[in-house]
Amino acid sequence: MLRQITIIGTGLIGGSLGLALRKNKFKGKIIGCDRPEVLRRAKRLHAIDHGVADPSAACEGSDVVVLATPVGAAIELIGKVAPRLNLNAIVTDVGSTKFEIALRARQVFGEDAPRKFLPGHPMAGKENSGIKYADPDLFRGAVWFLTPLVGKNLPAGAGREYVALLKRIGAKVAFLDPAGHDRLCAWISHIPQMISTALAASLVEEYGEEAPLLESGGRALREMTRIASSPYSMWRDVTLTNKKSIAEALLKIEQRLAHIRENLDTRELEAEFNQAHQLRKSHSPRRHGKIIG
Amino acid sequence: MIVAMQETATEDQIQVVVEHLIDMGFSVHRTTGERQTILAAVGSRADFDTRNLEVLSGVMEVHRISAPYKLAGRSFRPQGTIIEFRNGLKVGGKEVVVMAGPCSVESREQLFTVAELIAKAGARALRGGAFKPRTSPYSFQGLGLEALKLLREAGDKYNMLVISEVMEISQIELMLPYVDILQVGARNMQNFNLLRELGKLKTPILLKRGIAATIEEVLLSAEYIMAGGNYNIICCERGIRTFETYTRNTLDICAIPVIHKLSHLPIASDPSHGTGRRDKVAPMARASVAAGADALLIEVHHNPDKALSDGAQSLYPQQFSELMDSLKMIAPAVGRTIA
Repeated sequence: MLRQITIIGTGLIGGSLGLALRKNKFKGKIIGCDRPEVLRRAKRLHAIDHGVADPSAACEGSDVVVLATPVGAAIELIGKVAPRLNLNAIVTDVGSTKFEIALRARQVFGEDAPRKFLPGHPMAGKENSGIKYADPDLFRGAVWFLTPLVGKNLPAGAGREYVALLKRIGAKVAFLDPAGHDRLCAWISHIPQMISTALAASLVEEYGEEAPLLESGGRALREMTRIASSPYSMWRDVTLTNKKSIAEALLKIEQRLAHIRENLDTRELEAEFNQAHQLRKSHSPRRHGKIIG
Repeated sequence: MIVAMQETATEDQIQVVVEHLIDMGFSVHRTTGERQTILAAVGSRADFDTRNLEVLSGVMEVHRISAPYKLAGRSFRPQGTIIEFRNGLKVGGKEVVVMAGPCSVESREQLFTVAELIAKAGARALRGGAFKPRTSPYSFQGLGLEALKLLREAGDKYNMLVISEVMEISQIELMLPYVDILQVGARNMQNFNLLRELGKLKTPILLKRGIAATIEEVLLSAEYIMAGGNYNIICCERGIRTFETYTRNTLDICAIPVIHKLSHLPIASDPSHGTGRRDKVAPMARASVAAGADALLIEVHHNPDKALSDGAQSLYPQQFSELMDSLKMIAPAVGRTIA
């Protein structure tokens, strides 16, 4: 039985996790750690029971510590929370990339790393950040990746109970290896962001002075550029910690674009369209590969 | 793959790594040094991400030592591949082989005129397209079988090998009696069905680099052919798409020494398609030989202004002859001769 969970960073994701735990009858105590004004709001919304300003003090007595900050901050926080952890407590996170933080956990916990740290990544979010957008149903139906440090070995005890809790709040738990996770996310999340950013930035360069012309673009354009409004502060950490996979995927896209540029007037372009159509044909919401839970 | 353990790694940590590697399908060879343990993992898991080992406790460094291609890799034949033809001509040896001819075979008169001129200037292989699927259905589509017969006749008359492009599997059988080298065009570099069929032959293949392909991808395509048993492959740099728009493509001269380093296969250069402009062909041909190309592919037309395809990049016979003279001076500077 988990008696206490600490959530460090009670913004959109951390706050939503607190709300979801409460809504789904989690009986233990929830400690939050963030800036004072954020903690006040989190407490008022009942996302947390109690706020503590200092990260390492906030971990005391908890069975699970969730680092719900951007990746860079989480990497820094591991070292700070490690000394005050309970003997059987585990640390987990919600960051967008998993390899760099796994590497850091190995440095901090050494041999104990696979038992102490369980890297996680919920595939949920909104364009807006902050506790005021927190939503107890944010994770319902969303995939929640876990990337244990050694193969299939899940940390025992608190780790298993945490997984059970994630399922209880409606998340679909799926297991991957850290590097495989980063490669997958490069393709399904980071590359779409870079393409949207490149398109939006080019549009501003070409027609920025003539806003009305840009507004004449329809729904397709709005959809293609919607995520271009995402904050750099979040993507900086993602790109810094997943440079290899993103660069490899970008090269593939560049090759594809070069091929299309070369074949604008040939039937090769038709083959390209046909291949692209297969994405939707083979995609159905129930097909999620080897997802457990 | 080599896994170097930290000096402080415990026996338990080493065992975890060994078990992980075995789980992943590798066989593991262990060297226990006085200070450090090194694990050599042998197996063919091209998709294995070495980073997953780096997160294990006690691991210091992980190095992948094998390229994703094996047969095409330099270590398969460290001395290099030399392809020898019936008439004694060798590609991949000390001699640089110049292959020339019109973009496409248009008529008997055209082909024999060009063939005689380039043979006199020193070309050792006659190139010419028989099938020309063009963008517009109204453009010249090539003479097909008729062209192949003409190429063979002209090649025999002037003692030149014959090279022509194969575009689909159905053409292979038709072409074999007439050509010495089958060329795979840039557009077909990743047509794996075609490559698989070519792997069943013994006829040498000239494999052109795709317009947006990396060097690794060219070698993987070569690997595809070699996996079927045909080791007679000449890679060919023909220009890639870059941000430069002045020339149609950017001839990647650097690919020549890189492929020589990574692979044992001979490499040719095609400055005609690589630049797309007549006045740039000779300088890039000279640069290719200086960079170590084993063969050149050059388009020559006796009347380029009236060529039915790619006239703008075809050399006049006189220009070709002058180019050959300069190549004969450049080759010795890099320890080669012109065949």
